[in-house]
Amino acid sequence: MTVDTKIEEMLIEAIFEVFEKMFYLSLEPLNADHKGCDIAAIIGLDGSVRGEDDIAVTINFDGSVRGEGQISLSGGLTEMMAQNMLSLDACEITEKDIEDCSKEAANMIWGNFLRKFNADEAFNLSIPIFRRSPGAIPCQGPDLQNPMFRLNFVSNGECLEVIMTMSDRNR
Amino acid sequence: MSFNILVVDDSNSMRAVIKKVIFLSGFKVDRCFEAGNGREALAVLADDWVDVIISDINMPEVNGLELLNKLRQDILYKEIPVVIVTTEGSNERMEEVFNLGAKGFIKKPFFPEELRRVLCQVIGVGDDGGYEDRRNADRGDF
Repeated sequence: MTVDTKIEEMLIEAIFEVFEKMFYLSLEPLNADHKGCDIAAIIGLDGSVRGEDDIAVTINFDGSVRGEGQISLSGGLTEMMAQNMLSLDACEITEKDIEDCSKEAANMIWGNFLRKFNADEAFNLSIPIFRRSPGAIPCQGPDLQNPMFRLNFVSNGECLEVIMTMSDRNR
Repeated sequence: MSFNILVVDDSNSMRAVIKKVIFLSGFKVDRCFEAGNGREALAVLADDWVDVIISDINMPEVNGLELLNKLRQDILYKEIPVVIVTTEGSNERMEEVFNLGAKGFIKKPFFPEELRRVLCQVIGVGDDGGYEDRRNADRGDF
């Protein structure tokens, strides 16, 4: 197993834990096996998130390694997350709820990932940055134009894309 | 016995989740205050007594570690038990918050049962959130 594979496994595990524990949603990794199925036709396999209600949240981390991560979520997924986390009906969800839950998701994913990466180190996490319609807005940092890790998931017909880059502090 | 609880987190959603767990766990809560950061928490404490504080670490203005430090230095507040609920769950950070006087530590993401269990330990009530104690008190068993 390569280092990159191990890091990817830790990131996937961190994502699953956050969605299961805080949003009560199970995610399914989107991979080549999905080609030709309905969900892949709907959302695509190459970048996945394109709707007007889609959002992106970017976060930076710094320590012995530093990097940047971004989650892109389809509008329907953000609504499900907010409903489940806050126990609210769809009509009760506000824009602020969606922003708050999405930022919290990014914060928890990378906090959880960094604990798995090195439990002995206290990394610094930035305040997450929330943006609407990520399809129309370039990624926040230059490093995320060519991320080291790109993971796609589906849940109840909605999609999530997670991208991350990280490098040694001294490079 | 009922409790005044202060929830400190810059995320409205996380404060809502924590409050929901507290109420669903059956804790007899008199008042549940909220603050978006450590500065707002200190403002709440200046006006009202709280029995337990549940706080995040990573917050703007005055973060959770700074809040713990300020509480420890104040003779009025230093005995108030603080439970830290945070994404920053490294061993180094846990040691730091316990050295600053925190009584409990919960890593996000968490299952509601984890928060309930730690709160029961810190507040010193049973796993029923104090329900049995209250029932006995109502019967006059105390």
